[in-house]
Formats: sequence, C-alpha cells, structure tokens
Amino acid sequence: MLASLRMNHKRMIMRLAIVVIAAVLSMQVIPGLSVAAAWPSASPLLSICAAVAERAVSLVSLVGLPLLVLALLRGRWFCHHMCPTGCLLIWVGRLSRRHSAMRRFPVLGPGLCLVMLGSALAGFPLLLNLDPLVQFNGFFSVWRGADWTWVDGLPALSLIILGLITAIWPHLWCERICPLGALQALLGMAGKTCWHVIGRKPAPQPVPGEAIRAETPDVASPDTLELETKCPRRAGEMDTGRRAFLILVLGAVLGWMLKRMGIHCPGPDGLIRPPGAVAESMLHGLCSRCGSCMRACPEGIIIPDRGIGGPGSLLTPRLDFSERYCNEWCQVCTGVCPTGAIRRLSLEAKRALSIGTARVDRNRCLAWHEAQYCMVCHEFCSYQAVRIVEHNGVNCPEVDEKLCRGCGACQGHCPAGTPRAIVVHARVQAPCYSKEIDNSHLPV
Amino acid sequence: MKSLISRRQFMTGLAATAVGSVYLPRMAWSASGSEPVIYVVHGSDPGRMLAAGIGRMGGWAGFVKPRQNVVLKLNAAWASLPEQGGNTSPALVECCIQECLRSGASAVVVPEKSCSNPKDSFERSGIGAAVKRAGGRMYSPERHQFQRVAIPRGVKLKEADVVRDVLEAPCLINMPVAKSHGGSTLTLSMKNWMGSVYDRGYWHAHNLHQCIADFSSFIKPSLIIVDALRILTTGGPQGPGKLAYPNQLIFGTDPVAVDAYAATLFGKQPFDVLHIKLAHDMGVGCGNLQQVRIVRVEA
Repeated sequence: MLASLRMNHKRMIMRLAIVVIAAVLSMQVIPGLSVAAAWPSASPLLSICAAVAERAVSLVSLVGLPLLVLALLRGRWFCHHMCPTGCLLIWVGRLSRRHSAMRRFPVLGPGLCLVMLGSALAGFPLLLNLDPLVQFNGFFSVWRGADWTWVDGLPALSLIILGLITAIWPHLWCERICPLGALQALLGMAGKTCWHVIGRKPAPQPVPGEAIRAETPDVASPDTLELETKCPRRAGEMDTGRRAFLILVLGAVLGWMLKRMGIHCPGPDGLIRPPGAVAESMLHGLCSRCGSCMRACPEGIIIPDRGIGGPGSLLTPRLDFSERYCNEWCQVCTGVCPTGAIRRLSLEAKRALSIGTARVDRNRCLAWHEAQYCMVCHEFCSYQAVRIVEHNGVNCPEVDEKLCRGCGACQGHCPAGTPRAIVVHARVQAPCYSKEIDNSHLPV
Repeated sequence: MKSLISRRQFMTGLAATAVGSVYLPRMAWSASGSEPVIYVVHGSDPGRMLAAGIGRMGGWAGFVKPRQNVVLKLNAAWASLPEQGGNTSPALVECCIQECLRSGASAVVVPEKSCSNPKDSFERSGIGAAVKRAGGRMYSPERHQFQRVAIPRGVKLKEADVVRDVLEAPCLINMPVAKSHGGSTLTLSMKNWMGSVYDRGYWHAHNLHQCIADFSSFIKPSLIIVDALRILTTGGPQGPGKLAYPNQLIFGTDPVAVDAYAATLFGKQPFDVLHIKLAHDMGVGCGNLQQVRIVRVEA
C-alpha cells in the first residue's frame, strides 16, 4: 500500500504529520511534559543563542543538540524534511503563480544568523523571533480559553506575516531570509570541511556564481527548496570570512548597545513578569516571544505586552491580575521557556519568590474608606502578607511587604471595583523570607 | 356592685398571660415552636462522634429520605492541608457520605465554589479523594449551574445566584469548619453558604455580616454539623495559623444556635460576632445560649 503511493503523496503525508506533531507540541496538549512544551529549543539557533547569552548550558538548550549534529552531517536536511514552518510555507507558496523567489532579493539568512550569534555573545540576543520554530510555536500557542482578546493573539502575527510574504513570493523566506536555514547550511559546510580535514582530502570549493543545491536535492519535486544560493563575488568585495566577522561584530555591538539602553530596574510602573523571569534588561533580548508560557499558564494570566514596558518589551510575557492570580501551587510557566528567559524553578523556590508587592489604596479600600467588613485580600492571601489593623472598629488590611509575593490573589478578588483598592506593583524578583527566619541583614 | 371582670375571668387571663410570656418568645425563635436544641459531641473518632450525634437526633432516617439526593455543603475553599484547619475534615466528610448512602440516599452531591483553584482545593484538602472513596460526587459549579433567587427578608442582600443543587436539595446538610475570619470575625455555619453563591464580592462590599444573616433567613438546611475537631483561632480562613483542638462536633438545625455555641469555643460571646447578633434579631434562630438546650454527648 505504502509502496504504491507516489513519492509526492508520501512526502505530503509526512509533512502533514510533522505539522500536526509540532502543532500538538505547541498547543501543549500532552500534560506534564514541560520539556516537550519547550520544543522550539530543538532549533540549534535558538539554543546556541540562549546558551551563549546566558553563559550557561541548561537542560533545555541540550534539546537543540540532535539538530545541531544533524546539520553538521547533513546541512539543511531538516529544512526539506522536518521544518514545520517550511512544510506550511510550501503549501502557502503554491497559492502564488510565481515559481521561485525574487532573484534580486539579497540573501539575508547568513547575515541575520551572524547578527543573532554576535548579539548573543554580547549577552543580549536579538531577533530570536525570526527562528521558524518560534514563529510556528507562536502561532499555535495563542489559541486558548474563551476570554480571548486580540492582545493574546499577537504572538501569532509573525507566522501570519510569513505566510503573506510566501503567498506573494514563494520560497523567499526559506531560501533567503530564514536564519535557521542559514545556520544549518553554515554548519553543514563546516562539517564537510572538518570531515575532509580529518580525511585529509581537499574540501570542495563552492563555484562562484552558481547555486549550490542542498545535499539531498529532489529535482522531480516542484517544491524543492533552492538553497544556499551564493551571490557572485564582485571585484573589490570583501571575502566571506571577513564579512562574516564584521557582521558578527556588528551584532555584538548592537546587542551591547541595546542591553545598555534596556531598563535595568523596573520603576513603580514596571511590568510584573512571570516567576523566574530573568532581569528586565536581559528579558527583552532573551525572550523569543514564542508564547509557550502564555499557553502553559493554567490561569491564563500571562499575556503578551503591548509595548507598555517600552518598544523592547513588545510581546514579552507579563502578568495580568485583573481577574485571576498566580496560583501558589503552580510553577508550570517556569518549565516551558525554550530560551531560559523564564528559569526553571522548583515549586518551593517559586512559592518563596516575590514577583511584586501589593499596596492598599486607603481612599478606595472598602474597609478603610467605607468601614465595611471586607478583608477579602486578607482571606485570599496565602502568605499571611496582609495584616489586620483595626480602624474605627473595623478590621482593615495592611500589606507586609517582606512577606508579599505579589501573586495578585488580593487584587483579583478585591470587591472595590475598578481600579482595585489593592494592586500589585512590580519589583525586582527576589526570594521572600518568612517571619521565622531573620533575614533583616539581607538586602530585600 | 357589678365588677368589670369576674374573678374567674381575671384568673384565666392571668394564667394565659403567664403561660404566654414564658412560651411565646420561645415559639418565635424556632419554627417548630420548641426550644432549640444542639448536640455537642466530644470524642476522638469522627465516625463514632457522627453516629452518636445523629443517633441523639433521631437517626439518619429523620433527615435522609430513601431514593432521594443528599446535598452536602462542606468547606473545601482553600488549597490547604487537612491538618491546617482551613477546610472541613476529610475523615468526617467520608463518614457522613457513607452513612447517607447507607441510609438509602440515591446520591450524595457535593457542590463547592472554592476560593483557591478548585483542583488544588479539592486535592490538597483531601476532600476530593474522600468524597470519591465514599461514593459521592463533588464538583465546582460553573456559571450556568447557579440560579438567581430573591431573598424576601433580606436587608442588604435582596437576591443571590445560588447553586441549583443546593436550592433543589431534598436533604441539605451544612457541614462547615469553625475558624477565624478577618471580615466576618468567625466562619461558622451561616458564613459557610458563601461557598454556594456566585458573587461573594457583593457580600463583602455591602455589609458582610448583614448579608450573611440575610442569606440565612432564606436557606433552610435539614441538618447542620459544625466541624470543631480542630479550629483555626488565628490566620483564618485560609491558614496556616494557630490551632486549638476542642475535638467537638456540633449538631443542630438552628443555624444561629449552632453558631452561637461554636463562637464560645473561640472564647467569644455569641453576640460579639455581628452576624450572629443580626440573625438573632431577624428571628432566623436563637443566638441566646441561655434559651438553647445544649446536650453534651461523649463518644
């Protein structure tokens, strides 16, 4: 049966399967598999950039290892056979009447890849959202819940834009822009060179002016990706190595500059980040905007930032306590980040972590202002951070900032209307110590 | 000289007034017209205590009708552990459901709108598992499972969205845990109904104590069993906080009398708790413990 299927059909079925599997992973249908939820880190580009930027190899970044090895051995094999974004774009590309990418469009992939790596070296990776696996994940991770707003859908935008580009100019993305494809091509060339060095054979020199087809070209297929196009080298142009080095340096300088410009410390109006999020200045770069944490949050309180935290913070995860709050017994979001922008935390560490500080507005508080027997905030606080103060014979709330974790339970349940009388404000995330332990000597 | 009333008329009138002044106020406190009775069972094993208390009240047959549902309103509001005292004791819940089913109830339904995430509350409190083991059905009501009702005697609370199962229950058992509370001073049987209404925020914003009393004027449980095995004296309603161990279960049908007694376990006078005073004044029940017959049982 299988043998009787035409080659095209087989390929079609395989692509469909890959898209479905990737979509299932993105939508985090399988419960309890947090590393599987961080599957965009299977992209070696993402995991290399994250590991380089963090100066640490985490468990999640090791997920990128198989594809790294595959690229060393087989170059862009992944692009042809396994990239879910590529599979989708092939189908979208068939909508167009054009058969090939714009010939005159420059090959940006290697440059983008080098800028990403360079900026990662400077500790502030740029353009991580250009990784096709991130874009795929972003699209499929946003469909959740009934109370869905357009803000929740923002991470899906990049794949939609990619689809539109491909519908007009098929193959343009895969051939000329995709940085992951370019990285694999570079790795493939490096692998081949190494192989020949080890085998003491001369490495094959690319012939200038000719398109080098991928290692496993399928000429019969109409949707063969034309890959690794190399522009002819004009007279007076720099050689490839020098150009690559300069682009790398450019990326590093850009990353360094943007990191310096980043907000080092959230002010009173800073955003409340998910528990375990890296420092604000780092987060803007390291977050790939893949939407995994937003998808993972069972309470649905992680939403993409609309740019409230500045342009650099666009689409990064922030917490919204208007309806629900960060559950004491949950640390799911800390396990699904593919880049480590949200670090893995044990439940105990998460429960001890303060991500914000609640403050009572006495002019709005029903107890302070209207002498109501309210104390909902005190009732809901799991950390005994709301103290009772008697005022005019009525119990009134006061926040103990040393105990407040900023979970937002008080804010979401405050019956004082909008704005709430108790609101969580951002702070630099730090562990909180209970009253039993004297930590007065430690900086808070 | 002809007197206005005869000696016999005077004597009859005097006797009637005397009888009336003694008994009429008591009749006003309870619908049945008799003195409210509560049964305070002290012991160590919840199963035996439950059997002793119900035995004194005439057995399960008086409450559970064969082939009818029992709706149990317990307290599983918080994702805290059984020994922390934030929720009804799971051992007690399990015994109660088993007994109800053994007495011929077709099903025991346990609706609970918890404060913490329902999954965590049911799991960590141990109640979800206890209900399942005993053969009951516990659920967290969705928006569509509430029904709007008018509270005719309500002063502040004129209407409320209440879980339909609670409204339609042939046998409704209220099984709260006694604990302290920042807003309502104590959480006892009357406060426990907040776990069956949709909009709790309204109560907090519109005189919580009055709303609690108002709702109690509306809802009539068949039986009240207050879990005072261990009580949170501080840090309630969620805990953790300081615990005391009265090792008691309080049985009754008059919510105000039951709550009035339970308040004394916290070292308070019943009328120190405003909603007990308000409910008493509204005639929901009798909060004056001098007029309540307290039967103490050792199990």
